Amino acid sequence: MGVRRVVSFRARGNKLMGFVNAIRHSDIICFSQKYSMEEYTGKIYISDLERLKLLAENMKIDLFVEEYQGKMFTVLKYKARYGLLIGFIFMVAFVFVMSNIVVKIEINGNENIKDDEILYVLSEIGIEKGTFIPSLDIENCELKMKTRLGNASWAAIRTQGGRVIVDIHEGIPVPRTVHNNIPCNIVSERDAIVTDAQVMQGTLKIERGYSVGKGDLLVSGVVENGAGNYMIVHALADITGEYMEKETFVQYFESSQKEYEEKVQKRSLEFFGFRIPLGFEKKYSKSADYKETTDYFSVLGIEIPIGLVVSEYTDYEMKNITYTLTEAEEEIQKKISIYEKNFYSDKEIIKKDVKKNEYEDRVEYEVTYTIRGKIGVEKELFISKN
Amino acid sequence: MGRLYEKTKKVFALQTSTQIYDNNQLILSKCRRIYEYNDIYLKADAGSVIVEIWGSDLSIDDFANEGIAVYGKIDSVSFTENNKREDK
Repeated sequence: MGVRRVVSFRARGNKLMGFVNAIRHSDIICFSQKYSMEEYTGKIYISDLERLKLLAENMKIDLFVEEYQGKMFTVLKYKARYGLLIGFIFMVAFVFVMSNIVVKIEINGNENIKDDEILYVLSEIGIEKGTFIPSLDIENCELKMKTRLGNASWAAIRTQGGRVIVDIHEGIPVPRTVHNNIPCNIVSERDAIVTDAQVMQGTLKIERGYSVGKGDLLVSGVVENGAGNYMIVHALADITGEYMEKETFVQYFESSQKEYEEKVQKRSLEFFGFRIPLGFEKKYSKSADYKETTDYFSVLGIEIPIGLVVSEYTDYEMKNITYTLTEAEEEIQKKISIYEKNFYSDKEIIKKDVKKNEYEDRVEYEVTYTIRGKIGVEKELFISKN
Repeated sequence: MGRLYEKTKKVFALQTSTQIYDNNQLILSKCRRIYEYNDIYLKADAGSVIVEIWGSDLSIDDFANEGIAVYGKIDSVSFTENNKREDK
């Protein structure tokens, strides 16, 4: 069955052959014509039906319309179904939105730069959910993004339908150590007394028990071979020294602390960037820690910009806590323990002098550490051409 | 005069052409009038010739141009010179 509307007709009368020729000499397109048993049948397009009727009337022919064929008849049957029309309009709008409006932003390749930071920069340069994609100057946005994200060495933005895909390459941090092939000295990182020195390569410039200042030369990269010749090498040595460090820990007798309440979950439906709450909305007047996760639905493996957002609120109240002197000292001990774990786990604490100061509102511990640890750092050796 | 007329028709492709596909389709490039038509017989004025088609289950398509297409099982086709033009 074709698309165009076709009508089958049947004709009877006295001057049938004249009718056949009259049709032929008119502009009516007539096909599948048959003349049998004093009856003439054929098919015409519906646009020619009125002319055919008129022709039949003039020639006193009895004309019977037999059948309507064509897909257009099927389509026109539904012309009064407004729901279908609305659905079709909705589908067109859906396709338009999916193709021209930013409905989702995907970020790839970032490890140290947070998604939120990138999204913030994107919104600053005009890319956010709901932005009209054809209005974006992608090349310009890429340049702006690279400038604003200091840690990114490369940023690329591309669009795929309603998705904006951002590829980030983070800059590789320059290693602190000098490359093995480059000549270098070893200098002191801090003021210390040298307790031990193990030199693998280079000339030791200090002795055990020497007092050195920050930046003093410990091992030189210039080596004499005994025959009066000098070589420049990459100095390698482990220099251990003892040094002192002071740190102050404070605990106020009055301090405020977050007191958490039970976690509350709220669900909402995200629809093209808009959120429709599922269930009754509870107003949060108090302070709360907030976390949310979004799971987008997918059709045939392709994520669509419709998804379920689960928001988690953990309400808290700031409560004032009063510490007694003993409790405050206990808190300080905890802080000291954490500090030592963080900063001296690879070093040896030789001595720890604690000086306690009590004030009206706080207690302070001034802790002086005597530490044994590595003090040497590599420093590039530059040679004058002269 | 007759030869000139024939040559002119040939040069300007005004002759009636007849194409027959197997024995089930016949296309006449020119058909001025159908004299007789039923499911076993069709007689038509094709300009310089009168075409008579015998067969069974004959049907025609007319695409609102000069020609017609005849379908069905065609048994025989005969051409008779059309004297009408000469009479005129």
